[in-house]
Amino acid sequence: MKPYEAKGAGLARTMTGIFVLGLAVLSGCSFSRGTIGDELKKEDVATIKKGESARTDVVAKLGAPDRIVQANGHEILQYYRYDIKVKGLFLILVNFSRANIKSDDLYVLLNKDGIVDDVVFGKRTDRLEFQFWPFDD
Amino acid sequence: MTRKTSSLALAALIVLLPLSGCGFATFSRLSFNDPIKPEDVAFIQPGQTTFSQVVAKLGTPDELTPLGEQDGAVAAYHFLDAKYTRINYGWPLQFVSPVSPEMIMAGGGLGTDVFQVVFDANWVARQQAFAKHVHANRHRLWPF
Repeated sequence: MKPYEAKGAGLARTMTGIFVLGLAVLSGCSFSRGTIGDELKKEDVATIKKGESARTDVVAKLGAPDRIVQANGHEILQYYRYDIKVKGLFLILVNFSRANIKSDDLYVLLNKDGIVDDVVFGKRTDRLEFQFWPFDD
Repeated sequence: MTRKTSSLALAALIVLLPLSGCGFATFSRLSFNDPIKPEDVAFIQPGQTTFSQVVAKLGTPDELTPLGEQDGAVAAYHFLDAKYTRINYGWPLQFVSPVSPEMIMAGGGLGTDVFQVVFDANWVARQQAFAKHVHANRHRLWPF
């Protein structure tokens, strides 16, 4: 056998060993996901114009709000959505799992005439990740 | 914790706990939104910082509660971190015993914080505070 063939066979054996060991140690993993509420799309929110759009326009585009609050002379329509991602890594001895939840919130502030005064939109769910390691900060 | 947040935490725990069924040890964690630290809110100056500036830095609040028709409002940011540990000390006995006894010890903690900013009638920050600052979230190997 030529030296490079022996080296290649050794590497193949090592790789096979690592693969078999990996299969033996890693007994399973899982990915789960859940959402609460409809997605708040940026393009839908962009159609709401300050000083122009009325309450009926907002409701026609986004549906009925999840919450209505009266504050500082404004009627505030709140829309929210939650996204949950759960990942589990199941080894023979130890299991790790982690669930991350983030929310998107949209506030539409209407003046006394029912016209949009301000729109406040925050999207956190686009930064939501699947993670299994439960010990980091 | 509001009813909305409690429902979410409960829903997530229902999802999370079945994942911790077997094996010797299980470490689980549930995080709701990113934690807000005191240094993150140091920019808020009472009488100067506006609602828009707070939203630009911290994102949209989870809740807006009116203090009256013209008396201002309270913006609340909720975040929580729960950790759960489960050890089955009977698990190794399955290799030497015809039966596999279970001797499970589990423990954890739920740390919940709410950061609140009070705005006046002109949407200018008047006051800010962490409503709760509980550092209860930790993995517990020993429940006693």
